[in-house]
Amino acid sequence: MQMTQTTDEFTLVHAAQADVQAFGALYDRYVQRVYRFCYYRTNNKADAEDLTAQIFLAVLEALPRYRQQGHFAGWLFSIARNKINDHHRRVSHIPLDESTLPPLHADLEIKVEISQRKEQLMKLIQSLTEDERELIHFRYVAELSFAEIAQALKKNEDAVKKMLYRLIARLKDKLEADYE
Amino acid sequence: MNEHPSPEFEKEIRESFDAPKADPTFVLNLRATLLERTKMKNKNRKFIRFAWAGLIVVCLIVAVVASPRVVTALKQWLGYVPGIGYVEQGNFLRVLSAPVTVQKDGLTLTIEKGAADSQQTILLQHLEGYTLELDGLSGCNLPARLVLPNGTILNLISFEAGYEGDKGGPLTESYYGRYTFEAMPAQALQATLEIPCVMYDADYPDWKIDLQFEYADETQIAPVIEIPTIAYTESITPQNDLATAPASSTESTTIEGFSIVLESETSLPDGYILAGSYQWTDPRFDGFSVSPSEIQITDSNGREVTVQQTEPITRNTDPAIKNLPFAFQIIGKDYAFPLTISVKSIVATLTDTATFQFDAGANPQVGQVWDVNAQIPINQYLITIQTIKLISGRTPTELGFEFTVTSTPAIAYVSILDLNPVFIGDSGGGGGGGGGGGGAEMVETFTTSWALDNYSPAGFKTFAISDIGIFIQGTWQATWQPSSP
Repeated sequence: MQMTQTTDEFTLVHAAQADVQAFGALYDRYVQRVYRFCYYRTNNKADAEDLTAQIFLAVLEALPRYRQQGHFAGWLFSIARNKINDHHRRVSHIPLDESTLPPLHADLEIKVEISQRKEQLMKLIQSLTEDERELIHFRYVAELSFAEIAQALKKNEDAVKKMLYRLIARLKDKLEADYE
Repeated sequence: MNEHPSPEFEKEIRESFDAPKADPTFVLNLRATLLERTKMKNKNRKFIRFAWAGLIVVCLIVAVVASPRVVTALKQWLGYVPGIGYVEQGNFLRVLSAPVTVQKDGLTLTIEKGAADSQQTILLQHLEGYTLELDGLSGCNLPARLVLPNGTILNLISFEAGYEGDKGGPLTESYYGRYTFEAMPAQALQATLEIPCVMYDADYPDWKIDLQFEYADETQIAPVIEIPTIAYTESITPQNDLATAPASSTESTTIEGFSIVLESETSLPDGYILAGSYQWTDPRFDGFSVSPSEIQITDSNGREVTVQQTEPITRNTDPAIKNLPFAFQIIGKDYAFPLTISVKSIVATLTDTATFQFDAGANPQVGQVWDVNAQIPINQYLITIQTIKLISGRTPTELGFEFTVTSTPAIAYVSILDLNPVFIGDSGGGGGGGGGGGGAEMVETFTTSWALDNYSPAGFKTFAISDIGIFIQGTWQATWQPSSP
């Protein structure tokens, strides 16, 4: 069961703060999005699981102190971002460049036939800078709104929107150029 | 250059991320681990509540026969040990003499602080070198215990642990832990902490740590000083600046009897702990339904004060008690006093629910919209479901409904759930749906939607409306002047 909307987060968060047993509902709502985000930030299933566990433990501990300002998803993914950055620092001996990244689908057990265009798009995304990739992952993997991304990145919402629009335009131009 | 990307290209990007879903076993194990921890937290909170209630009883009984000066002194029995929190400050309050570190199996475990009063024994642990196991359940469910020299065993009441990075510590594989055990006898100064498996992990078994306590002296305990509530009762000036709220519907624009009650202060070397509670009398909201959402503390020059929310003296576990305890740790003392605590908005949820029925027909199609205009009165609100639309979710197998909702007076959010969702391939039953709303602003019209995997949208549906959220703007203030520097 997967919910696509998160707009009643205030209800869920408030319930989880008042009665920690209600934390399960928050977990159910976000666990797959957090996992997917971690998966694409690390390209590794084991690391994604490790980070997902760490993130929800951190959220559980911090929830009583969480003040319902802004968006819960923005707060949650700012914790996710910190954990992932910590992870990258700890494994910083692994350069985060394209040549050393494992194949995007290395962990997938299900073989998926990827179209050439899709594969090219994935390569283009892999060629982006770390910050650019993160932005793409926030938007299209974690499915965050611009306001939520802005909160997670501690940036202005309009600035985030502009950055992403420019990035998407650049990606599209490159992809189209490759196919001309 | 700043043009909105085409939906088709955005869809293409999304589809390029055909990530696997998390392994169901992992998801379930992690969920079980998290909920187990929440249970432990609940137990701890209930215990603290009972302990505090017990202390109150003592104070009240003595108040009948004692002079005001003595009563004040008794109330000051509650002390604050930095790092530990609130303790019962009596003749037998003991603290750990010195941190104790043990290294074993690649881990470094330090019991950094400890305190024992007549209600409980608290130990703070710092663990280095540990990596959280992913399977969640490592097969070791044996709790830690405290063993006294005479063989008496003090049982674990609760254990909380977390990643140290959450507390602003170094970004290493370090974890903090907080043990709460039964109370040590009044004269006991020695105990052995026996941990059958560190972090409930069978890979790190059989730890024994000898602990030496000493009677706490005044320098180790910060006194908790009662604030004369009557002098600091809130000033309430609710200001509804919501242009869209109908003039006649003032019910949603304030919360009856809301107040900020400052109850105690504690002076620390590097700041203060200010504790109190938000209280209200509004019959629409129970003890769990009100949450200030915008809180600010400023000094008399208007400078914002740096604060952290910290564990309050007690927590409200009874929905009938309209009281939300709080405690702020004020960082630093270099402020122009008095300080003003301001609540500028409150999120509150009505406890009332209602249902309505809807027939989607035998063969509803994605994108199909029904003009419903169903009016459902709940409490003093008239909720109107204007339209219902069948929508698809993230994947082709996810289907759900989007509701366009209006309300008089305006509300901030609402949950609309299918009471008995039917899933394709099932004979019926299953879990509930999601809900939604407009976020933390009151709007007259908004949509709320959800989609469930393998959900069958066809046929007669009963939807439940609940969790009607109200965003109340205003200014509620209390001022505080510390009684000691």
